[in-house]
Amino acid sequence: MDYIPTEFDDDINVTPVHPLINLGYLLGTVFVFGLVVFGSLGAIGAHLAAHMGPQTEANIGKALVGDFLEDKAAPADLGAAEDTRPEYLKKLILSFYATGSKPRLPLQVYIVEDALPNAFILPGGHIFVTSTLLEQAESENELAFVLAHELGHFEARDNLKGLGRSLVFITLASLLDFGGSSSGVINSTINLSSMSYSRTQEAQADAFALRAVVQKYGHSGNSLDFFRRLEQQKDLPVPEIELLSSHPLTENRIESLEKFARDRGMKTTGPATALPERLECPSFKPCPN
Amino acid sequence: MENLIVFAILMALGYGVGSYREKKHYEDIRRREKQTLHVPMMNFGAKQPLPQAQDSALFVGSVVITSDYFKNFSASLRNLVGGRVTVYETLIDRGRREATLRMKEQAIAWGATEILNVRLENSSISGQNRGKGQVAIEIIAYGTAVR
Amino acid sequence: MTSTRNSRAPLANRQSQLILTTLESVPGKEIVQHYGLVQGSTIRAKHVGRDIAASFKNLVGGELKGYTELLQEARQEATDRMILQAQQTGGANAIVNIRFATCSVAQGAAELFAYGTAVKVQ
Repeated sequence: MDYIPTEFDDDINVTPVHPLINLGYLLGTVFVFGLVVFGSLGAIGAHLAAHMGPQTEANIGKALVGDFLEDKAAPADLGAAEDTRPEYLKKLILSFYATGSKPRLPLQVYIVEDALPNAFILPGGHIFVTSTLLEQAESENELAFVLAHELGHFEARDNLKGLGRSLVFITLASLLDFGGSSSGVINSTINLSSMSYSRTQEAQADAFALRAVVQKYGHSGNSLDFFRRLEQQKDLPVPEIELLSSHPLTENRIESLEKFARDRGMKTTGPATALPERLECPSFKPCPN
Repeated sequence: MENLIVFAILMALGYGVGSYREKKHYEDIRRREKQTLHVPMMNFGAKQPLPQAQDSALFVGSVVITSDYFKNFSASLRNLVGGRVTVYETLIDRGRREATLRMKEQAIAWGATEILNVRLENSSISGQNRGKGQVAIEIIAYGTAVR
Repeated sequence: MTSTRNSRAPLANRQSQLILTTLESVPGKEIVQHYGLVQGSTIRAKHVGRDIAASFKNLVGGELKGYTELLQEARQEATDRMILQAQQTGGANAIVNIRFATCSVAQGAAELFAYGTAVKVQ
């Protein structure tokens, strides 16, 4: 029995394809498929959101807020029970409703410690305002605008639509094992649900807010001061939320809102309404430090 | 944002270093395969007439291989799409050839003229970490050398 | 050598030229030459739809038809590749003592591996 040695080609057991081309193909396929899934899930999410009962929404909200506060527990939250500021903010928000009408769920306002001026709303009517926003607010008008904007998302059920979509994303991500532990998953749920508004949704919430402040104060003056200041402070570290979300750029936002007001013959100037004193301290009492 | 940067760095590192080392390894494997080509290996045994020999001994060659970040990411995408996991093909191919070569080189050092009844096996040893997409596979090649 | 590379004919054609067996020899024939080990391997993953379907099937038990098919296809390909190596030897007309092995490489990806000894029988 003779032996005849043979050298084999390398590409018999190895498919001759460049790894980067392979990666490109995979990314492309997953991306296209992801778009299709995203689109159809968005439609399902919107459908579910439109038909979700207030009780379901409240339950979802409760679950999310519980996890979120646990995670975010800051000294200010512990004393939040006695803090009277959320009550003030809630009154401010409720004043946007015409007499006789009220929100579909009882609203809750929380103040959280955060270095960024921001406000967001979770499903179930839980509105979060950061301490920095309260510190930086110079008039009630601008604070009212920011709150009314979040209320606009609430009324349009934008956050619910976002939630449906982001839940599916997280499921996919955990299938892929990109996510970590379950707490990480919950966190990203919250981030996604508070961030994933589309440009259209943002614009509609802005329009809602503008109408609300004009109705309340009779003019839109000072309402956009907050965004104007943000625009001037561009060299400051941009909040991540602004970068990643589809929040319209501040500049365009101001322009288009001013145009919106002009087109509808809204009064764009007027006296600013003062904020209550010591808004930056719990219960409006002198700050402890 | 930071996550994305870390991801990009890991991908570039995995691809750059990984493919460089793979290239080097393949060069090494090809060179050693040429050197050891003269010794026949077969996986049948005593049911064939045995070659004339004085001596026989067992030889085992083994290797544990793992993949890089780039390959892991490509494979996790492939897991969604389905089909041939081409990035792992080179990995296993290298591992198997390396294990076989280790067995063969030991046998040749001993003075083998032929290696009979060769068996190849592999098993995943990544355990708990497998769920995280990590890969660790032991490949062993063993056979009986005669001289 | 290149000619065999370019003619990756379907398995049925190739198989007709080669005797595949798990025996150590081909009954009624004598091995006159051998070419050493030949091996074929492939790593496959199933797409996410099948994974999800399988996880549902996991609840009730039974055969995972999708996976069975997939592994069969993959084993066929591994065999294919082994045969390609045998053809590269230039003279082999049989592969004896064929062994199969399956190894789960990563989550959801399995390696199918086939090897044997390429021989010429008369």
